[in-house]
Amino acid sequence: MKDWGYHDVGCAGLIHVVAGFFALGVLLNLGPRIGKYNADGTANELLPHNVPMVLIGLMLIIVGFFGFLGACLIFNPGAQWTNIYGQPATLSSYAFNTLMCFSGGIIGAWATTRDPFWMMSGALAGIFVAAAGLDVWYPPLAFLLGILGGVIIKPGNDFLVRRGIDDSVGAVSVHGFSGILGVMAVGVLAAGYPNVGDAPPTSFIGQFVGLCVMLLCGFVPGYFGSLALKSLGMLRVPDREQLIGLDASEIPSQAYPEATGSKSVTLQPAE
Amino acid sequence: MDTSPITTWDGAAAYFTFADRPVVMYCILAAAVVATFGTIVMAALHENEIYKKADGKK
Repeated sequence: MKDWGYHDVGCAGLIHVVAGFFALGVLLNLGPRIGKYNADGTANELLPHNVPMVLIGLMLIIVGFFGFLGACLIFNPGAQWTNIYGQPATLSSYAFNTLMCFSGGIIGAWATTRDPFWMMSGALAGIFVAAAGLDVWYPPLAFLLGILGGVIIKPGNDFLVRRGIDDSVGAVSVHGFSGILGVMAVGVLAAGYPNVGDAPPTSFIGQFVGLCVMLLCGFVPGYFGSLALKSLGMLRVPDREQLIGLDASEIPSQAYPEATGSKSVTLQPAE
Repeated sequence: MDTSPITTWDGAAAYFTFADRPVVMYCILAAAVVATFGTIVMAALHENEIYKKADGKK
């Protein structure tokens, strides 16, 4: 990859394309949730049971991303900090571009869906579209890239749903499709940056080769690993357990006993 | 499309994309400003519309 001048400082390809397409490989074998599809092939919306918790979780992820992306810098004590390819880089470029792209993602996703879940997922998608070139983006360009990420995720997930792929959290769309855009954004908009040593400058073809490698690294083990588990009958929980609820099946305690009307012992004062 | 303003890291100053093309930079900045204020306008229009719908249902 280095020999092709592949540039991916925030791991848009290495983490998100790999993970997104690993998930796709698994979903192809896992099948949809019960009740997702009708007999005529149309899809039902299976609503999340706690939207505030969804938003808190996604906001936590965004906070964590500042830490993760900042940690993608190589801290050289007393010397110029560098990115993972040895090129000079600054913490401020990573931090500010992360802020720009996640805010763009929120805006793009909110404007096109008005849905809180997709809005915060858009924040993630915005980060992934700009992640590969965080060290070099002009910040308003990172903002526009973020908007692009926010805009594509819902249509991307709808594309998969129409093809019978039930992705309950939109992982393939958010990570996989946004990651693809992130890797190729560097090839289109940040080509020509010199590399350290003998590696060639960043280029469209270098990013494309890297993207193909990441796609295969994600999809192949995901698909064949899950196929092996499926053949052993170990991939999908039994339908009965799915209908009862995995938490009810597997966890002996109850999270909200008053809400479910569970009987409990009534305490009496000692006589 | 080569957008790198530098050909070597030695002595590099501003090295962000399009740093050597101010016209492109200003166009991108303008698009970002339009997107930001456009969002606020969209939000205001959307809220007015849903308030009218809510009033119509009462």
